[in-house]
Amino acid sequence: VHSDNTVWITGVGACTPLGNEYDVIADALSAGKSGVRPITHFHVADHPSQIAAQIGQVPTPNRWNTHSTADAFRALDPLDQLAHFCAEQALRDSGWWERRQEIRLGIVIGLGGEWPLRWENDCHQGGQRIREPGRDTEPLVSAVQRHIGFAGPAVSLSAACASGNQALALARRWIQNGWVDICLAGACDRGVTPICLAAFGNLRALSRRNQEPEAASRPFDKDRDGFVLGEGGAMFVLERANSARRRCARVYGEIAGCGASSDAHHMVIPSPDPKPATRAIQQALAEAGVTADQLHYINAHATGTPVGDACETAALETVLGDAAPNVPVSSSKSMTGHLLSAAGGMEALVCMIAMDRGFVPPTINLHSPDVGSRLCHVCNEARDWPIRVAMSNSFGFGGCNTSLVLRAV
Amino acid sequence: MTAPRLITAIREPNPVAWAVVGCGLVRANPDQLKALRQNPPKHLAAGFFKHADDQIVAGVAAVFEAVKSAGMEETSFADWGVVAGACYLGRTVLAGALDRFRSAGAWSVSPHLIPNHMQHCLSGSVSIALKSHGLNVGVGGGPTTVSETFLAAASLAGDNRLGGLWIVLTGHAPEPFSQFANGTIAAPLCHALALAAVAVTPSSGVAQLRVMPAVRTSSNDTVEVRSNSLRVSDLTNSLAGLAGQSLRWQLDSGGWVEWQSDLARKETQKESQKCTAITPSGSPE
Repeated sequence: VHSDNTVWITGVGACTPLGNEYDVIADALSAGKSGVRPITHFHVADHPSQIAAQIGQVPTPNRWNTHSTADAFRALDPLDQLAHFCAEQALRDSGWWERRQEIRLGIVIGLGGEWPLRWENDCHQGGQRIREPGRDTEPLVSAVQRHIGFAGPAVSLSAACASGNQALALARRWIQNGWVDICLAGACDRGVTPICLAAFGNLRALSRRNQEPEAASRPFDKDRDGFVLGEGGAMFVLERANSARRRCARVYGEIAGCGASSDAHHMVIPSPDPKPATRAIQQALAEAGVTADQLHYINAHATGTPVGDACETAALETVLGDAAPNVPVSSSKSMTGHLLSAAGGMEALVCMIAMDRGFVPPTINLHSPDVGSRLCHVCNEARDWPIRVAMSNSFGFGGCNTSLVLRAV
Repeated sequence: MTAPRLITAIREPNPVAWAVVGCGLVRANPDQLKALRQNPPKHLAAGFFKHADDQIVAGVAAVFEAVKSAGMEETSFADWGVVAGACYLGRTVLAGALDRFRSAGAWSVSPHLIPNHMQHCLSGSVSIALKSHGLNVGVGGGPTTVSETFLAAASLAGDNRLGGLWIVLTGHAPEPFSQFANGTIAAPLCHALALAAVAVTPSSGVAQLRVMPAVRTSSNDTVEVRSNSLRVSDLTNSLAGLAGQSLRWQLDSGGWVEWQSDLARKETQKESQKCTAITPSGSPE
């Protein structure tokens, strides 16, 4: 029996380094396929890291083929293309596309660097938009609303790498508050840019395993040397369970619990004290009404930086206690790279696929797990495993800790 | 098969209300920002603002002005959350970074760019400054930042996991690089507003912030297209020194935000429930 406040996910739109369709992404996760490649669309010779998990050309959404032109879509900024595609796909997938004018529809997008990405893209094309503030008139979230054609509440959020989880949590709250009937929520990022690659590279956060791109993203492995930059997006349609049930919608899962906390420690370095991250995880479990030993899968934030992996391991071991050796844990970033602001969206999708297909996606390139870890790592190959309850952690710069509990329906 | 009936059960949302227990404003020119940067609030390390964006300097300063004016210096904010919206954060710093990148390549890009000049940085900095372990999240980034921030903050009202919520807004007016008609560059003033909001109780004081989210029955309703979005400077200029009055502003996505004071209780209004502004010398305006 579901309460009136139960929120389900009934639509998915994604564009990821592993593919743009649900089944393609699922197959890639199951096969342990890496999406990391050498960067070829700009010069990387003087960058310390020269690899990334990229998405290539974003497919043109149907609406842009019928109401405008594909050329107009191609003229949009790369981040805008991505958000338009994911949002439209999600709404179509949910079955609400044709009836979107009849409902109270909101949108929450996790976007870490909307304006910086626009300014940078323009600059590389020879423009000076960054010095022309009069051109900065419409935020992406409003542009998506305008093109899809709805007028509900709209917000873009940024909690760095935790943005996706925050967006899903906020959208769920809007539905529970009764502000909207349906909410588009998720996250998009196009961080594979010269400036972003240089900034993270000079921060010494990125893997320099340039000669072995597919082996470069190595969360939890003692031979890791930083994360691999990724890009992509995942948007979802959220609605009340009773609404989805009434229209016999395909259901990808329930957003059962959300937790968030702050380290209040450092803008970059995670807190060595596991308490703040633990708090976010415990909040999500409490909201979902499950205990840690009832989790069937944890998609760790685990980016492949030594300090980040160690902090998350400590937090998970604290929460899991005696159950730590029994709950499968993996990091899909080993395959997708780190999608930055969009990581939470991507990894929520990974959890939904894991529940749907009944397997734990592996952490690929995990040959020498950290000594002393009590976590149940799923190394290199997917494991068939019935999953009813999954957790996705996302932790970000600025000390943002978030955790999401998803439940199969 | 008949189409399923519409799910829309029309429920007009109620306004979300907080008691505002502290309010701080900053309006600073570049020289004043420099002074603020070099003299962070006393609880912070001397280098706290070393790599921070100007808007973060102003936002954190506004928070500490609110703390001071409300007499909350000894208050723990450990279980408070932070919702912060900065407008076009990082424009000037990124402009310089792009210039250097073009001339000197990848190694010229500062590693401090992403940790200090992106949209999450204001909320993260406030949470670190106050040692707040509740959620922290950045909102917006463009012209509708103020509306988005109030909407996001309103969503968190009633979250009993939070002891209170800092709502912080920053932006420049005019925006850096703006030109007058004669081609000269306008000098930007950095504005910041910080509100310390808690659940309304009978004893929580006279200043309230109320937010009404967009009220629409469906998307067929006409969207009000605002020619000018609500800006941080609209708020700071209106609230500076305000006491015992009510103000209401329309939000971009519909709905409104209202600053409400109880005139009948004006005589007993505490200093903390007025908005006080600082200049770098610390003197209230």
